[in-house]
Amino acid sequence: MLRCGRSISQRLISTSQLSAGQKKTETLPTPEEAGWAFNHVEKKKGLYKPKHNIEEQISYMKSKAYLDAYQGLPVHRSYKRNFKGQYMLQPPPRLFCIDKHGRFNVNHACPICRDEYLFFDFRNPGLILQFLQDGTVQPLDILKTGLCREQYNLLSAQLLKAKEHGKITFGVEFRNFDYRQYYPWWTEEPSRQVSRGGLTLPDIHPDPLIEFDAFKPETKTWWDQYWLRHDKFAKKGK
Amino acid sequence: MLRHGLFSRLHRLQALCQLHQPQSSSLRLASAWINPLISHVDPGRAQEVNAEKLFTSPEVQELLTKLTGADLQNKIFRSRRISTPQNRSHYALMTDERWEKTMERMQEEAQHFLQFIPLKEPRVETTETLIVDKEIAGFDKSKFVFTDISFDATDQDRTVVVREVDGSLRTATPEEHDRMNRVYYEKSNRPVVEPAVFSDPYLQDALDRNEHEFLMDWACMYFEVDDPKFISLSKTVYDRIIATKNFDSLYSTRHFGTLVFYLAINNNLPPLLNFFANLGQLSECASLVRLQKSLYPDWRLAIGSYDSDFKILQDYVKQNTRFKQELGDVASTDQSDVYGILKGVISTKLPTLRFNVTMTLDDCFCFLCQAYLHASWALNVNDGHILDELRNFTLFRN
Repeated sequence: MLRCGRSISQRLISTSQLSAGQKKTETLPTPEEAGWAFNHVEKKKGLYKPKHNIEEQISYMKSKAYLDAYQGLPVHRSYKRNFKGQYMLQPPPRLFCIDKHGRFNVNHACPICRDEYLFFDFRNPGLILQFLQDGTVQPLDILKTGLCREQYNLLSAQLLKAKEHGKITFGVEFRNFDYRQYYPWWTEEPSRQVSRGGLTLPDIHPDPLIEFDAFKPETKTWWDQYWLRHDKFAKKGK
Repeated sequence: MLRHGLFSRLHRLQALCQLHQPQSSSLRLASAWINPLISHVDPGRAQEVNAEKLFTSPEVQELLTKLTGADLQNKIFRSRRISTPQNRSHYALMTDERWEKTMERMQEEAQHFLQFIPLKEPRVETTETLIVDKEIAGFDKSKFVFTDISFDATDQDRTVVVREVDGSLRTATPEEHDRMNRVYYEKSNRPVVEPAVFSDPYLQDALDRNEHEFLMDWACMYFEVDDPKFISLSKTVYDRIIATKNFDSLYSTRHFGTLVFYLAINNNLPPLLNFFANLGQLSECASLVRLQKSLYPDWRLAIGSYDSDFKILQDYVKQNTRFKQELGDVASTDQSDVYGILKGVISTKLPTLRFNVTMTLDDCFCFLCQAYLHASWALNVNDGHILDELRNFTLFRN
C-alpha cells in the first residue's frame, strides 16, 4: 500500500517536472505565476528532487517566495538538525541526502538539498556567501550549517571556482618588490617588507597600561587574622 | 662534482641569456608599453623610447608618487575579505592630538603599500639546446621536465631543463620555468593552471563590478612582472579603464602609477587631465604635464622654472591644440578638455561664491571658457585672476 502510494506521488512529481520543463522552453514566468517554490510535500523520502538551472535559481533567490520562506536570512539559519541531546554531542553529519538515483533518502534533508532550487554554483556567489564566516573566505563549520557531506564538499569546490572566476574576491597578499632584481641600474635598498593585515593598532598607537598607585592600600588588616585563629577563640568560649 | 659543474654551467648560461635580453637594442622593436591604438607619439620617436629607464628615473618616480594619491579609508586600508577570521576589533579612545599623530603614522605606513609594480618589457622566449642525443629519440610520446628542487635554488635561478621527444635536451622557456615553480613550490592563491578571471568573459565581468584593484593585485602576485601575459593583461585593463574613464577604480592604489606612466608614454593625457580636473586638483594636472614633458623632452615646449601650475596647464593646452591641428585631428575633443579642466578647477575653488550665484554654475563655466578660448587676455591670467573675473561676473549678473 505504502509502496503504491509512493509510486503515485513519484509519478505526480515527474509529470509536474515535465510540465515545468515545457514551460521553461517557452518563456520564464515569475516563480509566483508558475507556482514554484510552494512544495507542500512534507515527507520527501524516496521522492525525486526536481532539477532547475542556474538562471532559475538566481531569479528564485530574488523572488518574493524566497523572501517569505527565509525572511532575508541565510538559508541555513532556520534549519535545525533532528538530534537528541546537546549541540556538542550531535552525531556526525550525514554523507548525502540525495542518493545516486536522485531520490531523497531522508525526510528532513539538509538546507540545500531540501529546497528544489538551491544548489551550489560559482555563477551565483550570493548563495555561497551565505555559508562563509563573516568577512572571510572560509566556509562555516559543517555542523553549524547543518549541510550533508556531499553539499559541503560541493560548497568548497564551488567556492574555489568562484574565487578563480573572480566572482568572490579576497584579500590578495601584498607582494613586495626588490627593484634591484628587476633593474640592474637600481641601487636603492628596498623599504621594509609589509603584509596586508600585518599592521596592528598597537604598532601605530602604542598605548601601554599605566600602573597607578593603589588608592586605598591594604593596611591594618590584622583583624582578618580572626578567622585563622577562630578555633582558638571558639575554644575560649567553651 | 659533475652535477655541480652542469648546474653552474646552466646557471651561467641562463644568466647570460638574461643579461643579453635587454641589451639587444639594435634589433629592439618599439616598447611593448606603446600602444598604437591610443598613442599620439610619432613612430620615429616611439622607436627610441626605453620605458624601463624612463620609469625608474628618480624624477618620474617622484612625480608618479605624487600623482598616486593616498586615500587611506576607502582604498589602501579598506576592508577586504581575509583568509582567516580576525580575533576581535580594537577600539581606542584618543585625544585630537593623538588622533592626528596616529593618522600621520598611518600615512607613513600607507606609503609602503603604494610601491609600484616594476615596469618591464616582455621577456624573450628563447631556449638553448644543450645536447642532442639521437640514440634516445622517440623513447616516449611526451616530454620530460627536470627541475632543480635543491635547497639553495631560488625561484629565479632554478635550473629547469626539458628533454624533447626527439632526444634533444633544452633549457625551459620562461613559461615552463614559472609553471614548474608553481608545481613544486605552491603558495596560496597561486594555482598551477591560470585562473579564469585573467581571460576574457570573466575579466570583463570582474571589471564591470569595479574589481580592478583585486584583479591587478592578484595578477602581479600570480605572474612575473616581465611575463608577456602580465603585460598584455595590464594593458587590457588600462585600456578599458581609459575607454570607460573609470580612473577612480585604481586611484591611490599601487597600480595607478603604472597607469599614469602608460598614458604619459603614449602621449595621451586628456582623459587623465579631465579626471584630475574633476577632482579639482590643479597641481596634479600640472604634475602630469611635467611628467609627460620629462618623458619626451623638447626645448621648444620646455617648462620654465618659475611657471605656475596654471601656466603649465595653459601652455600644454595651447601646444596640444596646435599639434592636433597640425595632425589634422578633429578639434572637438581638445575643446572639451579645456572646458573640463576649467570646470573642475573653478568648481572646487569656489565654495564661497556658490551661495551668491543665482544662475547655474554651468553658465559661468561657459562664459569663462569661451572667454578663455577667444579672448587674448586669458592667456596671461593666473588662478587669482580667473577667480576675480568670475566674482566680477557674478556681481554683474546679480
